[in-house]
This record gives sequence, C-alpha cells and structure tokens, in this order.
Amino acid sequence: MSARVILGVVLAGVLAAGEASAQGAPTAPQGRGAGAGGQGAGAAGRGRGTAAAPPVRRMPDGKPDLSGFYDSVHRGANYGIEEHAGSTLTPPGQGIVVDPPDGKLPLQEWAKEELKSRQTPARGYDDPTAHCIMAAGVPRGFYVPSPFFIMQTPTHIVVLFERMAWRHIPLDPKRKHLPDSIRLWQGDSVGHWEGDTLVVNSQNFNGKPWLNEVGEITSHALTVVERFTPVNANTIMYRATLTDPIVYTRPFTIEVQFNRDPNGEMLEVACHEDNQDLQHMKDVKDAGTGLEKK
Amino acid sequence: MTVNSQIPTPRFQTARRCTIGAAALAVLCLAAAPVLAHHSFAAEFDENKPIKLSGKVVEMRWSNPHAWIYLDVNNNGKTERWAFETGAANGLFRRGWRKEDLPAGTVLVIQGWQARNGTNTANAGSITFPDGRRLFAGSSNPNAERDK
Amino acid sequence: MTKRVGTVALVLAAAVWLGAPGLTGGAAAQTAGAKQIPRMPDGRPNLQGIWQVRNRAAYNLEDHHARYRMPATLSVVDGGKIPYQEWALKKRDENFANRYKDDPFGKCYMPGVPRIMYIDFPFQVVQSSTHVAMTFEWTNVHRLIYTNGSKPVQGIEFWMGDSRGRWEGDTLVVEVTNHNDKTWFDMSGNFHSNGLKVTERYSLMDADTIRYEATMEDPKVFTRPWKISMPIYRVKDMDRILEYQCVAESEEADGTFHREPRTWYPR
Repeated sequence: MSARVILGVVLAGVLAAGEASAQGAPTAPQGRGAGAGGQGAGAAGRGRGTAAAPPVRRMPDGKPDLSGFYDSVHRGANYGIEEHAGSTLTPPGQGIVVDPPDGKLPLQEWAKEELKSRQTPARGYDDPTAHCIMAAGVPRGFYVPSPFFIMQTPTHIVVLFERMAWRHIPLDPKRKHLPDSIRLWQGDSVGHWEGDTLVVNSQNFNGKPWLNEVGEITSHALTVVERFTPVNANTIMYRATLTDPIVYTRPFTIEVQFNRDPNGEMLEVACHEDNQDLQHMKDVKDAGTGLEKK
Repeated sequence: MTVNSQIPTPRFQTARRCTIGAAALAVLCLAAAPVLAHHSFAAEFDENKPIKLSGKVVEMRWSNPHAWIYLDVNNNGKTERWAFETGAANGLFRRGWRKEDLPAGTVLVIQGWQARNGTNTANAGSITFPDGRRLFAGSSNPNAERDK
Repeated sequence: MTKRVGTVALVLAAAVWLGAPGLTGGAAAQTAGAKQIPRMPDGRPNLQGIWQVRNRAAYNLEDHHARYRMPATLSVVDGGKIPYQEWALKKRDENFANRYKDDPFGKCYMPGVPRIMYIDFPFQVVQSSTHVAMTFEWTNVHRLIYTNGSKPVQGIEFWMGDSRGRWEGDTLVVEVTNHNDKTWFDMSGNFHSNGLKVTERYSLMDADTIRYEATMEDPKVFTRPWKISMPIYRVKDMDRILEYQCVAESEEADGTFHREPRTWYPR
C-alpha cells in the first residue's frame, strides 16, 4: 500500500472527527479493525469487526436487530467516491467503489464533461446541500460525515439522519412503489430480508441531489439496491448498487462500514437556519470569472 | 496584531509537502482542526489566497455543519471584522467543548484561506493561541467535568 | 359449595380478563370502560401510523377573525388567551404586525415543538419500547422521543428541542427541553424564550384519534404555565408520507436554484 494512501487513511479518520462523534483514526483498511465510532473515553461496546465483538443482535422474530446510533467509516467519499488524493481544500479519499473492480465510476462521456464542470468553483453553488437542502438522497446520507439513527420494528425501518432528513423503509412484500410521476429527494424505498441481509429497493428519485460535494452525478433514472449486512452487534457492512442509464454505462456498487455507538445520541444539524456560505458561493457564481478547475 | 500573509501548512496535500512514512511524520502533516462542511471548500475559498491573522474573538457561532469564529483584527490601525469557518459544533460538543470555552476577547491566531468573493471571510486551517497551543485541540476536552 | 366455587371462578376469570395484555401488535387489550385501542407487544398504546391535525392552530393558537391569507381561528388555548407578561404581549403584537417578514417558518426554518405537530402536513410515527420516532412530511424533519429513561442532553439548544418520554398509564408524557428562542408557536407571532419547557401528553381516544395536549412553561415570557389541546386524526388515504422540501421549493420558485435539464425529472 502506497504511503500516500496510508496518510490518506489517517487523514480521513482525523477529518471525520470534525463533525461525527470522535473517531480514532483507522490504522488499517476499512473492514479490518477500523475503529471508528464511540464518544470520548470508554471503548465499551465499540465494534471493531473482530471476533471479540458480541454477536449480531436479534429481534424477537429472529431477524437481525439493526437499530441504534451509527457513524459510517466514509473514507472521504463525500469528497470523491473513487480513490483520490487530497488538495489544499479537498480531503483525500480511499475509494468506496467495489464494482467495477478498478474502483472507477463508469461515466458516460457527457457525464465526464459535466463532472469537470461541476468541479469549477462557480458551480459549487449548484450543490443542493450548499443550499442546506439536507435531504441528501440515496446513498449520500450514509457517507456524509454525520451520524444517523436506525429504528426497527417488525414492519418498518426508519433512518433518522443527524443532518436533518429521514428515510422510511417499510418491510412489506406487498408494498408497491409510488407512481412514476411522484419524484422525491429521498426516493421511495421498500425493504425485505434475505437471510440476515436487509435488501432495500429504491426508486422515484427526482434527480436533484448530488452524490457528494465534488458533484458526482445521478439523475431521475436512478434506482438503488442497498444491502445492510450486520457483522456483529456493533457493525453493519453496507453496499449500494446504483443503476442510472442516463449517467453511467453500467451499474456500480459502493461499500461502507457502519459502526454503532451504544452510548451515542443524536444532536441536531440546523443548516439552513444559519447558512453563511451560500452568499459567498453565489458571489462566485455571479462573478462568472474564468475560474480554472481546481 | 497585524494582518500577515504566509503560506499556511497544507492540510491535505500529500506527496510534496509532507514526507510520508512513519505515522509520526504523518501527524506532523496535519496542521489543523478539520473543517467538514456541506459544500465544496474549493468553490467558496481560494487555496491561492492564504491568510494569517490574529485578533480578539468577538463571538463564536456554534452552528452545523460548521461553526464560525468572528475576530476583530487590527489592520494598520483600523479594526476589521473577520469571519472564519471552522469545524462542526456537534463535533466539538461531543469532544466536551462548550460555548463558554471560547470567551469574547480571547486572542487567537488563525491561518487559513480567504473566500473567493473577496470579503473578510476565510476557511480556518489552523487556530492557535498566541503561545502556539491549538484551540479545541485533542480528541476531548481535558477540562470538561460535564457528562457527555 | 358449588356457589362459592362459582364465585371464585368468576372472580378469577375477571382478574384474568382485566389483566391480560395484548399479545400482538394489532390486538386490543380490554380494560373495563375503555374504547378499543391498538396496542404494542409491550402492552403500551400503539401510536404508529400517519397522522395530521384538522384545525387552524398553525395560523393562530388564539381566537382571531380572518386576515389576509389567514382563515379565522378558534382558540386551542385553555382559557382562551396566552398569559403573556406585559412586555411580551407588546412583542407578540409586533411579531404579528411583521409576520410576513419575520415568521421563521416562512423562511423555511424548523418550526420547533409544539408547532411541528399542528402544521398542515402529515407525519408518521414508528414506535419501539425504547423510542418513538416522528417523521414529518415538511422538509424531512424528525423528532426522536426517548422512552428509555434517559435524561436530556445538557448545555446545547435545538430548534426541535430534546424529547424524553415516559408512559403514565396509557398516556405518553413527553418533556421537551433545550429549545432555542428562535421559533414561534404559530404564524401570528406567538413566541417564547430559550427557557421554554413543553410537556406533551398523547392519549389514544380511539384507534384513529390522538388527544394531544401541550403545556408551556416559560417564566421569562408568561405569567403562568398554559396549555393547548387538540385532536390529531389518523390519515387513512395515504400509506406513506411524501416530501415538502421548503428550501428547494422556495428557491426553485424564485429562480435561485436552477434546473439541471439532463438530470432533473421533467416537470
């Protein structure tokens, strides 16, 4: 493993401490002892994905119990889903794409050009979360550096994001998706169990969210299949396969680990109520100067 | 206390400025409290406009996804109000820091990158007291006697 | 002898009948004299489902005749009027005069508690033995009510407060603290300080009606505690709540957030 990637891993861990609850910097690649999660002193119950962690919790009906307060080991995905070096103002990322195997997003040609455009400073204004539209879409809510809370009943999973938004995932095999003409920021999700994995199908997206701050792209044609697989009492491995025939040449899959903090609680992110940044970015957009791609 | 431009220690650049290898060296490359926002930094701030200022805290807005520290800075006899974007309030709160830990009047030295729109606004790369100690340093507030 | 056995049997049967908890989510446990209400496996009233008010409290908690863009309102306040201190009544009247400019909800700011409960959008409740989650169609906001005996977080203020609940018989009592001073109670400028404490009470009157009460205590602003109450009705013609993203809708309407024709769903 290159030294740069080692540094990136350490940096990503420290960066995540800025907003999420304090995390130890992962010292190993994701999935092997990455000890994120937990607040302050006291590592009791902190999942590390090892044999020492307690086994998967269960609901009375025998299904895994996914409920709890989680941080994700996001590996800098909110600043670039592929592996990327950092620059002065952009954190690095180790990459979360597991398919295609080369870790690269399979963009169509028009989308490659659009992505370059989105990375010019004048277009930062076009990121909906810069406007504090906190419904980050799927799957961005799971790799922004901010925790979330999963509630689970036999018929329902609800995810509450500290960056104020939610997703409902009914566990009803007869549930139909919304009509095609209803489009939502968070899409429309239906879930079912396959063994110990929660499988969630989502569609009815409005195409407005960006996949992250650097403008990675989805459209209204997006459909997502997510798989939540509990590893032990405190760890979930999350995979999402995104299919978007307007933007990509084929589906791709990302993977992120979620770590539960049994003592953690949600706080509140009130972004729009005190958004100082938007005006600065609007000024840049309005100035329309020939700002180079960073 | 004067406005003073310097190249701040880069936070995220790797190969060139920070020699890699031992974890100890990697730590030296981390100049500052990370600032994780909800928008692209590069769209709002300019890496080619580094800035280093020192001044007195007027107030800190404990907001999310990032907080703001307002400083009154003496620039050649004139007082200028500067706004610095810094880490999320919730992250600080979880590490035991509270509003009263940064009283108005505290002198701070902030290195960062100025906003592209030319206003007295910057993204804070490093915030220290005049003696060099980092503000809100460490993974928890050692002086916190509070629960959680 | 037979008569005595019969009496004992009757008493025993009554005890079993009165004490038996609901065994499934939908079963209704019977207590003498109560309407049938759905219950959770743990025996608590089942508040789950989609709910919405059918009143006009969102416009004004007190009695008022109609004004421009505001229907007439009948007070939901016990005793009719909110007991403001003298300075605060003046402030409220000033808020009312400036409501189109100053109402924080009109700027798409989070409405706080209790206002979120009676705005004109549905919300959904999901309940476990340790938490009650409320998700709101309006701008995807949520409330998490802890029913696990935990205490509020200290030293921080929230727009939506911090909610800790407990059951008193069949009533969910929720104490909401940690408010900031930036929300209004309605569109008419009724306001509070950051010293506000709200105590909510949720009771199921029948399977489709919640009786909702909220008592406000704020000695910086009011002369005494005061209470509102209203029914909240189960929504039966929606199987899921949708979204109203206030910032997005406002900005698209005023042209400050631009359509991206290749990725956005066509209008």
